[in-house]
Amino acid sequence: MKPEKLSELLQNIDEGLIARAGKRRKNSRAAIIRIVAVCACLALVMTVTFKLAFTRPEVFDKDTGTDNVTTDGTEIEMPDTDMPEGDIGSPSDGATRPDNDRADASDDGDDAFYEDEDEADKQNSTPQSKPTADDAVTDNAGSSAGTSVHPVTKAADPYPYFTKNIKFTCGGYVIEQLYLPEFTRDKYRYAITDTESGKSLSKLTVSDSVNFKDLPVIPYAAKTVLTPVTEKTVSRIEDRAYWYDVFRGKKSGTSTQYVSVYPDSRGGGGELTRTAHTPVTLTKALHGGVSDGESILLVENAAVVEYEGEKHLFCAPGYLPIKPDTEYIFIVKKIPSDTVSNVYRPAEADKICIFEITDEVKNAGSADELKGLSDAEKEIYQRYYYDTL
Amino acid sequence: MDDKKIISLYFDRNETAITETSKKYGRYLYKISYNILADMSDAEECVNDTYLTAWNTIPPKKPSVLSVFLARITRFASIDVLRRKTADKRGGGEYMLSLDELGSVVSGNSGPEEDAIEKELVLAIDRFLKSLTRDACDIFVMRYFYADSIKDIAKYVGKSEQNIKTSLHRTRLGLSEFLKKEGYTV
Repeated sequence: MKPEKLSELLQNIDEGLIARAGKRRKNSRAAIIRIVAVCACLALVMTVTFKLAFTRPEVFDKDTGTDNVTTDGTEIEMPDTDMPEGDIGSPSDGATRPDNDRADASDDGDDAFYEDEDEADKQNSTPQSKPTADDAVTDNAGSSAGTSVHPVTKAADPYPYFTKNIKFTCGGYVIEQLYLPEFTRDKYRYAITDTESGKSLSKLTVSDSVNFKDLPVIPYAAKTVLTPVTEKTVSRIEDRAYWYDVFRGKKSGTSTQYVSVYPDSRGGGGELTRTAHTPVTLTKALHGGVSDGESILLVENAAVVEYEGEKHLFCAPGYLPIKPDTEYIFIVKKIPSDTVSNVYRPAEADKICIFEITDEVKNAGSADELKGLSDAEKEIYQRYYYDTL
Repeated sequence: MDDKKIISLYFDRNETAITETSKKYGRYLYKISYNILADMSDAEECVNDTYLTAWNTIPPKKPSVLSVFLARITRFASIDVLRRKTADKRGGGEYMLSLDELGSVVSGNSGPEEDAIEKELVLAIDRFLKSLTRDACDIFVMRYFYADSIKDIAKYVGKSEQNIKTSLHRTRLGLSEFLKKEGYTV
């Protein structure tokens, strides 16, 4: 017998033995994590205590009793303390804590808007929060032609887009996506305000006044939105075609933003939080089939992509910098769903790859002519664009 | 969420079954896969495949111990990927090292009679493992089922690496002799 065979046989040994050993591994790991956490807390407390104990205030002249005056009487100029205009992670436009009542009813009646990114960046002026040129940005006008796969952001703050709120109006409601500090479980919350009554709502009830096909998208960033495509991705697409979907499509509609809607399975007052969604309801929302009186909860963002006449709904807890009327190649990992076939929800935000069909791509004869791309990225363009022409 | 509730989500064809499975067992399954494949992306793939397989098999299957059910799928998928990747070559990963060690238990020759006696052989191995002390048995399962490294096993069990190596060596010898006594030519 070969060792591999014996190893295969071990696959089928008594599950009680496997479970017992597994539990032991887990308990031991949990104990190690607890010990490490306790040590880290102790270290932090000791550091703070040490600093407090040994930090002395500015020494001033005991005789004169004044500070910033030298012994010969000349005044010392105190340096300016340049405070940053915004903290990392603080939203750009002021009060964003969930408890704040966002009764700002700026109903302009138009399609969705969100804060000018440059303006927001000025307000969040700490270097870490400012996206670098290499980051995936909302406005892709500056992206280098042909290079549509952006690397993971190089900014120290991995969540540059989280520092601002996104607000839009639709159907008589002001809906605002709030940024919360990273340590909270629910990073994204929404505040809904009825513009007529000024009341905050915990959920939005479908009515004739809300047409979900016209709802704006709230694109917001994820840790890694566009993963670098490697040869491995390409070979995995081949090997596991059922698991990866690759298709080309255009974002439908003229608005730059859509929002996905879900039945509110939690209810309750106060802030809305992320909940799991069911694909059936997503499809219903997509095709306008949500019933009157049905409660919905605004959660993860989505993008509607048209492909060969069919609409596909992208739902991802991440930022999709998809411009309208622009074609892309999408590579997504599809999680199983036997209820709806054209809903794509990657298990994780960083499992989406998006390749823009730019003018440079269209003008080139083959992927080899595209500059600044890795071999794997060129292969994607070649296989899914040039070879299909 | 407890296993019964997770399984009922599968039966209800509720997609949150996968989210809950991932929350509870994601890291556990990833570790098993990584131990075998020593590659992050492949390990992630195998774990995702595990979710898909679980979705497609529950129902009608109703696992009695969900963790073991999932672990088996992950292990099987990972070994499969490894086999395809490496063919006859031996690459990295603890799993390959553990295979080398198991070489001392078996002859290394394959024969048709093995398929026929597979089930009985598994039962025999079960009997042997149950005859061991708890530590010895757990160490063996950690090494040859979970493909944990010697260092990790030492941490889990609270013994030195040398103790672990000695325990494994003795268990392998014991298994080899046990199987011979039982009349299995392996």
